[in-house]
Amino acid sequence: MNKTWLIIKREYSTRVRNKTFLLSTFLLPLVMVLFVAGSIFISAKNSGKNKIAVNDETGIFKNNLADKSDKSIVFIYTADTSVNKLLDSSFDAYIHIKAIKNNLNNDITIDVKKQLNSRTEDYIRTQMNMAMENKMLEDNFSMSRPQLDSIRNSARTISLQQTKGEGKNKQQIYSGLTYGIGFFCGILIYITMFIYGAAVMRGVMEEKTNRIAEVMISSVKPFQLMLGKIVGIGAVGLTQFLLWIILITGLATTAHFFIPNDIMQQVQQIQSNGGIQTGSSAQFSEAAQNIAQATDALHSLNWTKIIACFIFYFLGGFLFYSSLFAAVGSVVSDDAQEAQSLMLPITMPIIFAFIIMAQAAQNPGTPLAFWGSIIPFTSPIVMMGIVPAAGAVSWWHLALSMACLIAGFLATTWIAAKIYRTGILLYGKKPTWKEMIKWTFKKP
Amino acid sequence: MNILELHHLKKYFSSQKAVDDISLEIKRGSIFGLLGPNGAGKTTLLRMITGIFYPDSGSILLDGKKFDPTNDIIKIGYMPEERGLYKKMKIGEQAMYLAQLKGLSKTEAMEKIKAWFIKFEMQSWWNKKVQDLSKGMSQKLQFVTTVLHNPR
Repeated sequence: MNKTWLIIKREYSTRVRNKTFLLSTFLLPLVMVLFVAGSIFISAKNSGKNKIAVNDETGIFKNNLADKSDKSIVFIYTADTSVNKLLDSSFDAYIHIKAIKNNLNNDITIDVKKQLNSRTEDYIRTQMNMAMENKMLEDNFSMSRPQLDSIRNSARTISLQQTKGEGKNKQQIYSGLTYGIGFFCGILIYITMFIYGAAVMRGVMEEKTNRIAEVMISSVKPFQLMLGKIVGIGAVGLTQFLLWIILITGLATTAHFFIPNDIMQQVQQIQSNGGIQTGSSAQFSEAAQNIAQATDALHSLNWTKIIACFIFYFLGGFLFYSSLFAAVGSVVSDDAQEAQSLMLPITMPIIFAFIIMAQAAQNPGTPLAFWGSIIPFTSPIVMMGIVPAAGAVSWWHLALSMACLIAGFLATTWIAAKIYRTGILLYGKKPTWKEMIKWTFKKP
Repeated sequence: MNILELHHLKKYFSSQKAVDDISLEIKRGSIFGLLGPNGAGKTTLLRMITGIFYPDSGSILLDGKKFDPTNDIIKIGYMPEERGLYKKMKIGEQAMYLAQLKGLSKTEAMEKIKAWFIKFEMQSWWNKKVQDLSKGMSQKLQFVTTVLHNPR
């Protein structure tokens, strides 16, 4: 045990003192923020402008299709029938409506220059159905357009808020936020599992190719060497998370000081009123309302549970996979390509878990989310995707998932240790899968 | 008095014979050379003597007593041919680390390393990294780490 401790200390201190550790600790959050901001920016740009030519012979749609509020979809009415000429000029799509049959399906085609995305298609369809609806209401109830609009405006006042529990335990649910947090945690575990798993593998490969393993194993057991490396690198990962949490809370608190005083006072007033009430909204500025709502939403989450789960599933997932990475590192020699092909069976389930997580974070109640969060191959990533969602994970579900993960990493560590023990001292030819399976059943 | 005795030592890897019935005795204070063609089982034999492998049959006697890998490891210094050192680690830390793994306490290790470093005129290397050493220099370091804990 004492020797394992020495190995852990060395693995930990050489890595934490390394410049790349400090750099990645401070740069990774920055890179992630830039990445998210960049993808939002690009997707906002890309939705671009869609100019749609509408040739309406029925009179139902002409001047009745509303442009999208951000002007990304614009309808222009024309009587021109030359499709190709229109599409060659500045138009992106062309709709020709010759006739509309009431109470029957109307199949309308839209000629496009380049494929429109599904959201644009949905928008156009909704607008066209709305125009039909308006036309029918106008005809059957002899209402004018302004009347219709004013009824719609005064009728659409309902906003929906999910809540859970009663009395004191009553909490508001912000489904967009829980989705975002879940997805973010899932990605973070996914990325770190790869980074630290690969670090374990590279560490083992280094020891093997430099023949340090030979010297080390004459004074410690192979299992101690493997365990020391895994635990040491895992501790580095935890340190990094701890620094991130400190960094983020630090930034959040300093952000507080940059909010002007009068807005802060309004925010406190809103909070003491018990949230934003309809009618009272006029007396507070929009900024204050937004801040109050954001603080409210953030307080609605069970952060203790989320952070505790994150640490557990990071460690569990890391232990589960890193021993397998160590086993791969022990059987390959200096050849990166060899390592790549052996890594595939390990990286596949991780990528698979990520795909399930993306689904599960959106629909936390599905069987896919349930089984994905129980099976230890995927549970570290999938569980983090659904933990923030209210009521999605019961205590027995969490306990079962954790128990499975613990059993899982004990099993993978046991198997990996057997492969590692033989592989680390073997030079020359790369072993086959059959040989590696044989090693797991061999006595020392 | 024999420092090391091997009796009918055998080791098989799956069906392959690696070491087949080796017996030998080495006198205390002698230098012993083991020669053989490739694949004769020299490394396997050495790995059994250093406790890395367990023999399938036969016995190893160290100092007349049965060899116990966990406790007798401190009596052995093992220096394989290659430079078995961490390239990015500082010389001093590396020596401390390997000595402590052999079972020396921190103060003990520090004392011995300093004594050996003075003997080999290596005191000024303490904060150098292994990757900056020449082959001869790192062999010197490797030798020090091998004999540091006073093997028999």
